[in-house]
Amino acid sequence: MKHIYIFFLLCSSNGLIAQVETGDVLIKNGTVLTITDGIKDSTDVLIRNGKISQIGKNLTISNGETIDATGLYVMPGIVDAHSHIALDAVNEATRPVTADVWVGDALDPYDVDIYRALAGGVTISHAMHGSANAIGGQCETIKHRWGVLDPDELRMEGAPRTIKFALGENPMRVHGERSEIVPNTRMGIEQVFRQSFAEGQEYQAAWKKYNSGQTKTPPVYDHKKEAIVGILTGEIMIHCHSYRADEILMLMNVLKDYGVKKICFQHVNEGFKVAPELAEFGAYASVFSDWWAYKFEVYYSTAYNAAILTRNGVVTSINSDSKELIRHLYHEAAKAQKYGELTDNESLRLITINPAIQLGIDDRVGSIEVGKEGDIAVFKNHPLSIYARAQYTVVDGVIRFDSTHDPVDMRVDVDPEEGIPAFIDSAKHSGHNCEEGCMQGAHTHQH
Amino acid sequence: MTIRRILLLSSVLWTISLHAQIDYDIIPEVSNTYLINDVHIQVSPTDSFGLGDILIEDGYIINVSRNITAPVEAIVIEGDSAYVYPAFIAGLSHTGIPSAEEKSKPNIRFRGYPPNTLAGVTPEISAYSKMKASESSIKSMREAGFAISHVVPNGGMLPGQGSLMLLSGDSADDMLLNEKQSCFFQFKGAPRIFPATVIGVMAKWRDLYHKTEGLIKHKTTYKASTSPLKRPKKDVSLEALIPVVNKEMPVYMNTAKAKSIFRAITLQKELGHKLVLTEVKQGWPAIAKIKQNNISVLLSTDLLKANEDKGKKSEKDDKGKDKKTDKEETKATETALEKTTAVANGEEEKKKTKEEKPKDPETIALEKRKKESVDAYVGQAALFEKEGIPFGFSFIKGKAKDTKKTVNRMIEAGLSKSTALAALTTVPAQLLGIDKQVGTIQKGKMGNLFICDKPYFEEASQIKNVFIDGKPNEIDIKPKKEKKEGGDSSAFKSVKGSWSFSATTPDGIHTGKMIVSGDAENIEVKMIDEDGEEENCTDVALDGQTLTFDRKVGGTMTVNVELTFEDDSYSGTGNIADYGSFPIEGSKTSPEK
Repeated sequence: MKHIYIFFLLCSSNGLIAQVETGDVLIKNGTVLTITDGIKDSTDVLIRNGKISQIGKNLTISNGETIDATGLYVMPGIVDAHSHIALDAVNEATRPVTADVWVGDALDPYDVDIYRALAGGVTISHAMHGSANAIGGQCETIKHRWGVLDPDELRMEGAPRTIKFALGENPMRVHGERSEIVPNTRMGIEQVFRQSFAEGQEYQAAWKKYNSGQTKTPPVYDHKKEAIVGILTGEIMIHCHSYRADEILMLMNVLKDYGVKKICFQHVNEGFKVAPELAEFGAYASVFSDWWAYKFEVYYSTAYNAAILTRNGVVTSINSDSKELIRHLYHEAAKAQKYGELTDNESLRLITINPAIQLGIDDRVGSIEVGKEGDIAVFKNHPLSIYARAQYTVVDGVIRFDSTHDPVDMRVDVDPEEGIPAFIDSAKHSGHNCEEGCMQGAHTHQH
Repeated sequence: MTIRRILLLSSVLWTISLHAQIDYDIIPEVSNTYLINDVHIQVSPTDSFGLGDILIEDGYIINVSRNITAPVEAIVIEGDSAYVYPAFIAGLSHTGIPSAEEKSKPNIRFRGYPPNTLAGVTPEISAYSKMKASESSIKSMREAGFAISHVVPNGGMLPGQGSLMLLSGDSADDMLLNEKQSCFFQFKGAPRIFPATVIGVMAKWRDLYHKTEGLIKHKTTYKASTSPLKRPKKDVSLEALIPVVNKEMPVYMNTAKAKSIFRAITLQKELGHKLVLTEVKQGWPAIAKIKQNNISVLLSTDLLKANEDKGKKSEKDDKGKDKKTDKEETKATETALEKTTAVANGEEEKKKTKEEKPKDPETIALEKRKKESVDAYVGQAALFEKEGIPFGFSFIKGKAKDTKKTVNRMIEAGLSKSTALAALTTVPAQLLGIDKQVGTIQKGKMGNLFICDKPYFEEASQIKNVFIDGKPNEIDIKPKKEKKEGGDSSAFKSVKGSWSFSATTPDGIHTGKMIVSGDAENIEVKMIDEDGEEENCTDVALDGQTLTFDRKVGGTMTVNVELTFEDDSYSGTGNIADYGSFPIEGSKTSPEK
C-alpha cells in the first residue's frame, strides 16, 4: 500500500518543501555497535530532529517512531565510497579531461536501486563519475532518502566536493585507442594530469593578477580549469580509479609536485604492494573484498588487500561500484575478515567510519555517537554473520526501509508508457543501468 | 454559416490604381474593414459578451457591441449566431521551421572540443531566420485557431532564439512580430561529442554563461579605457547570450520530465537568468518549487497517445455492456479489471477472448500503477489550475491540429474551460509581453480571432475562419470523411504493396522494406530492416494519401512515422520523442495483386 501513499505524495504539493525531512526515532534495547565507542548491550538510541540525541538505557520518546531492537544489532548506516546508483549520466566520455562536469547534475531520486541499497543497510553512497577519462567529472555524496522527488533532496548538504580520476586501461582505450589522442599509454595519462595541473596554475595566476588589479581585462572564464584550481587549493578531493602499483606511485609523485594532498585511491587492487607508501602519503584506499580478473590490469589481486592496507595504517574501505553489491556490503566486509583476520570492529570500520573519512563526512556520520546524524541500520544477526539481514534502515531519523513493511512495487515514478507485462524494466534511461560500474556510458562493461 | 463578400469599393479602387503606377504583382486589398455580424463573442477566457458584432479596421478591433451599422467600405461577414473566440497563441512551437537538414557526419579529431555548431550551440540563430512561410505546419496551426506562435528553432542544447510570428503571410518578414524574443535551451547532448550527456550540457551552459559575463565585463572595460587594452575576441554565440546574462531575455527550457524541471530550476537559481519551463509533462513533483520561485510554465500538449487509444477501446467495451450491466459496475477504474470482466462476459468478441488470458495479480498490479501514472499525466493541467499556477501550452511534441482533442481530455480530467482558454490566449500573451495587443476580443486589440460554428469545446465544432492581423483566413472545410464501412479503399489500393525504405537518422542511413497489407479497414504495416528483422507496426491509419503508424525500435523507443504517397514513391518523417525527426523516403518495389 505504500506506493499508493507515494502516489498521493506525487500528486499533491503538500510536504514538498525544499528542506530535507528529518524525524524522531527511538531504537530500543539493541546491541549497539558504535564503531568508535565499543559495543553496548541492551541499549537504546534516540534520534531527535534527525540527529542522535541520546545513547543509554530506558530512554523514552514522546513523539515519533519506536523500533524494538531486542535481539537485533544496531549499527551506523553503511557508507559506500564508490557507487553509480541514482545517476542519469555517469560518463561524459568525450574528452580525457572533464573536470567541468558534475554527476550531481544528473541525480535520479527515482532510481529504485536507492531503495535496494537501503535494504542492505546503506544510507550514504558516493555517486561517482565513471572512469572513461583521466580526469573525470565531479562526484556527489548522496543520502538514500528514498521517496523524495526533488534530486536536490538526495544531496548530503555540506559534504566536501570530490572528483574522479582514472588510471590505466579505461582512459587509454576510450581516448587513445578510439580517438587516437593522448592518452594512448600510461605515460600519456601522467602527462594529461601534469598538463591539466600546469594549466590550472596558470589560470589561477591569471585571475590573481586580475583580482589584484595588475591586469585590466579579466581572463577568459573556463569552467574546467575552475575545477582544477579547486583540486590545487584542496577544496576538491581526488578519488582515483586505479589498479597497478606503478601507476599509483606515479600519481602520488605528480600530486607531490603540485602540492595536492588529498586523495583516495579506488579499487587499488595492487594497493597491498605499496601499502607503506600510501600510508606515508596519507592516501586512502577503497577496495573490493575479492573482485578482480575482469581485465588484464586486474589480475594481480588478493582478498588480503583490505587487511594488508589496514595493518599498514591506510584508512581503508570496501565499496560496491555496483547496484547489486551495494545491497550486501556487510557481507563484503565479512570476507575481508575471513581472509585477513581483521577484528569485528576493524571489519565494520571498512563500511562505516572509514568510507566516511574518505568522503570527509566522518564528523557527521559513520559511527553511533551523540550529535551525529541519525543514520542507522538495524540487523537481525550480527552484520558480519552470513545470516545477517537488514531489518530497518533509518536516514536522518526517518525510517526509509522497514523489512516488516516492504511492498513488492516500491517505485516512486512509473513510466506511463511502459510495456506490461514484462519484467520491470529499469533500463529506461539511455546509457544507464544497462551497464554496470565505472564504464557506464563509455560503451564497455568494465571497472 | 455563410460568408458573403460585399465588394462595394472594388470599382473605386480600380480607378485609383489606374492613375497610379501599375504593379500587377500587387493585388490591392479590397477593403481593410470587416464587420462580423451576429455572433456569440467570447471576449476573454472568463467573459462572454453574448450575441453581438465585431468591427475590425486596419488590423485592429475598433468596436465590439450590438447592432453595429456596417460602414460602407466594410466587408460584412454574416455570423449566423456562430461563436467567436480570441485567436490562440502558442507559447512555444517549431511551427514554420523546416525539419533539420541532415548534415553529413563530420570527421572531427577532438570530440571533446567541437566547434559550437556541431555541439548544438547556436544561440545566435533566430527562428525567424529559419522560418519558411510555405511550411504546412503554419497553415495547420492557423486552421486550429492560432494567430501567433512563439517559434523556436530545432537543434541541440542551444538551438537559437525564439521569434514571435504571426501565422499568416507570404514571407517570414510578413509574419514577424519580434525576432529576438527568447533563448531556447534543451537538455540535449550532441552525438558522441562534447557535450554528449546531461552533465556535459549543464557544464557547458555554466561555462558559456560565465564566459558571457566575462565578455560583458571585458567590453565595458575596453570601451571605457583610454590606455591600450586587449581587444575582446569576437564570439557570436557569447554575444547572443548577453541579453540572457543581463536578464533581459528569458531562457525557455525544454523540460518534459520532473528531473529536467528540477535541473532547470537549479541552473536558474545558480546563474540568475529568467526561466520559463516548457513542454512540461510531469510537472507535479516540482509544484512547490515552481510556486516558490514564481516560475512561468508552458505545459506540453502531447498527451500519451497510445494510452488514449486504449482508453477509447475500453470505453467502447463499456458502451457495449451498458445495455445489460449496471453503470456503476462498468465504471471500474482499472483497465485490467475491465478486460477480465470482458473476458468473463464471454458472449462478446470471441476473437478477443482467445488473445487475452486471465491476468496474473502481478500484471494487474502493474497495470493499476501504470493507470495511476497515466491519470497523473493527463490530470496535470487540472492540478496546476487547482494549485493556482498559471500556464500556457507548448507544441513541441503535441500537434496543433489536435489542440481541441487534447484540451478536452484535460477538461475531462478536471480542468476548467476558462483556464483552458486562458492557457491558449491570455497567459501566453502575458508571458510573451503582448497582452496589451492580443489575447482578448476588445476594442484596440489586434484583429486576431476565429469563428467557430459551435461552441469551441464541442466535439463537432469546426473553425470556419481565422482572422489574423485583421485579415480573414477562410478554412476549406473538407466534407466530413464518411468513415465508410471498409475504409477508404481507393486510397488503400495506392499504398498497398511492397516498398523500399530509407531513413536518414543522426545515427546513419537505415534501409529496409516496408510491406503494407491487410484491407482498407484494417491496414497492416510490416517493417523489415537490413538484418531481416521484422516488426509489425501499430496505430496504423490512412488519411487520404498520408499513412501514419508507430514503429517500436530498441524495445522501448517509439518512432511516429508519417508518410505521404505520390504514385510510386513516398516521403515523410519519423519522429522520436526527445530526439526529433528525420526524413524517410522510399519507392514501390512490387505491387500486390
